[in-house]
Amino acid sequence: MNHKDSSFNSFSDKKTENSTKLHQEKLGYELPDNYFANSKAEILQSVLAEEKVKKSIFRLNTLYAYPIAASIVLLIGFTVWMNLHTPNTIVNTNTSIVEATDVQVPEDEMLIQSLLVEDEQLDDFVDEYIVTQAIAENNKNEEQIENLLINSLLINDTLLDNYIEDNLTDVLIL
Amino acid sequence: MDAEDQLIVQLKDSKTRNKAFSTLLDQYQERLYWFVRKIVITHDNANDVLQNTFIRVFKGIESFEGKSALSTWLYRIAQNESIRFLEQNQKVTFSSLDEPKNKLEILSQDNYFDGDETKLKLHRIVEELTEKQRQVFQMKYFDDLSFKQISEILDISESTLKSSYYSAVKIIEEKIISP
Repeated sequence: MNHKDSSFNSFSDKKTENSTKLHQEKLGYELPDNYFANSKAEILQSVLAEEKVKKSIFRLNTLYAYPIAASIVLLIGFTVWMNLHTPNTIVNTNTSIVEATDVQVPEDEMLIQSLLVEDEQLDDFVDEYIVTQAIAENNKNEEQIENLLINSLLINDTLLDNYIEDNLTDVLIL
Repeated sequence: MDAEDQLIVQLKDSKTRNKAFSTLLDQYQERLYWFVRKIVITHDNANDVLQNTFIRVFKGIESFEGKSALSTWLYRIAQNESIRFLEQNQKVTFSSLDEPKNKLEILSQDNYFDGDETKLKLHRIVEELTEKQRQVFQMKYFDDLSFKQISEILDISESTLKSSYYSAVKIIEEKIISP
């Protein structure tokens, strides 16, 4: 039986303008309603999300990357320059700190100075700082003790005066 | 500068990209969907692959050098995405996609398949073709691509493709006629 199904007529000279219709009629493929419109919206949404990610990276590159890079280079350059020019100064400063024992180095200042000290010199720097602080603290304590003694003497004198005054009053009354 | 060149320029320009991409979808979404659907069989799979394809197109448009036609480039991406999808899902869904029976089983289970016997018969015949015959037949007959385009997409010479296509048509017509 040489029956040719009408839907399969002549594959060699087929011409169909509508691709969806062709696939539905020949292959039985179906689609959800408004599939292509909905799919287009979904794809555009996905693509926009991709673009946002891409843009955020791009912004970082142009707006922030160069200034950040320049700042880092300047910071490193400044640090190197300071390193090359400050070790002697630091030693001198530290020496003067040690000599001027009544001067206390503020903690913040010490932390900043410690950044400029090389690793090998760090131990010495810390030791010097501790000694300086200890001496300064000691001086401060001595000063406080002296003040206390003087105050106590003054207080004793006052008490003595009171005692004398009280005694004198007693004597006069009697 | 023809329309395709203009579209490419617009796609590469960040200011006009979104609008141009919408135009690109209007032109190629349907065609690529059907191209992909025949490879991954079910609608849901085709939908996923289509989305991945266009996202890849969007990401890669700046690197498109225009060595081939835009449509050829798009079909190539779609084909690669389809193959990638099949490889990733081979163990889960397509335990052995090479077996026609398996493919037809998956097809008949798809909610978006109007599976009358006549259409299943055509699917069965097409699946029995060699891979090259099937590819060129589907791309030529259903996707309406030229031999030149198919040649560029599959990287097979036009003469080989023509030979495969006419062999495929002959086999299909004979098998459809036979009871």
